[in-house]
Amino acid sequence: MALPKRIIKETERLVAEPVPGIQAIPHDDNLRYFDVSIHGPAQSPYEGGVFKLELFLPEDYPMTPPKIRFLTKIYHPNIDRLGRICLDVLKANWSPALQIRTILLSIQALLGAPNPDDPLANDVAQRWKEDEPGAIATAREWTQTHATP
Amino acid sequence: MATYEDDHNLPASSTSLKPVPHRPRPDLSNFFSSLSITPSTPSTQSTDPTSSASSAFTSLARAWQQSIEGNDVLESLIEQLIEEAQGGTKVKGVDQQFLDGLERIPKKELVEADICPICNTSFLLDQYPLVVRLPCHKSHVFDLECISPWLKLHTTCPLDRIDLTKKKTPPPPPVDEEEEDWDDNYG
Ligand SMILES: [Zn+2]
Ligand SMILES: [Zn+2]
Repeated sequence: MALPKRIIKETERLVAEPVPGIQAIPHDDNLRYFDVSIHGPAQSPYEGGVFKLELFLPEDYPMTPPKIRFLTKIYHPNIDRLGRICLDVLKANWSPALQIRTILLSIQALLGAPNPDDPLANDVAQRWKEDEPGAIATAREWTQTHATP
Repeated sequence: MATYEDDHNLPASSTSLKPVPHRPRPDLSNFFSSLSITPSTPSTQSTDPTSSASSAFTSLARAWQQSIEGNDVLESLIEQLIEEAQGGTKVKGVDQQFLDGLERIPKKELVEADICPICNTSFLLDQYPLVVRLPCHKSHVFDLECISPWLKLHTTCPLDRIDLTKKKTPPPPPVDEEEEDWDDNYG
């Protein structure tokens, strides 16, 4: 089955004009499957880390959102142990006018602004609310241990 | 570097998105086979134990219904199961009439730089562009082919998320007039 033009165009643009701090490379044998890496934003507990994710464009993309999750372990209230991400635009607020590029930017922004009031990882969110400095210290440690190349 | 699977102590690729794009559903065959040996369920009722998950859902729901009548929560769960087995969730988009009634933009009003936000392609790359404007904003224009599948499942504009069904939509133009426009464009 032919790859929709939109996916080809998105991929070309991702390669030709990459977003700073974000890389997305399609697999040779499956152009709907991308290896993604996101640099932790400056001034966040994830600064200095490079986080690997996998992204898959379902058959009905862009009518349904990309499926994406972290492969690198990360301590974050909106990302669970399995790397699943709690982000409205990946679920109910998806729109076909969004793109891989905008989604990855949203994820990068989520790293810069954790939101413990809308948690996916409940234990992490709870700690974030009760002991923010401690939670941030753990997030930094995890970044050192798991996300530093 | 340790892989994700190593980190999470999982067998390789068991959770990868690639081979399993959708989350696996619970296997209902066990439910089914246990139902068929339950004395209260006559075996003559189960026609084909190896049929689809859908019929397993139905049988499971029926069996529950027989054994636990009076429990409201379970009853509503049963209803849900039966509904799902009979055709899945209800579609919440707009109807065909709404799509037919969308304002159509003649080719002569389009310029090269006008791009459909869904396929990211210039409308004019298509020799016969079929472009519609949503009622939310005059700049919110799409290929009909691109916006239709979205609006059949959702009632919102992809650009501003305005619910298009809440706004009073202009009545669709009379059919003959629309057909005339059509002929002009394509003639
Ligand atoms: Zn389009
Ligand atoms: Zn709009």
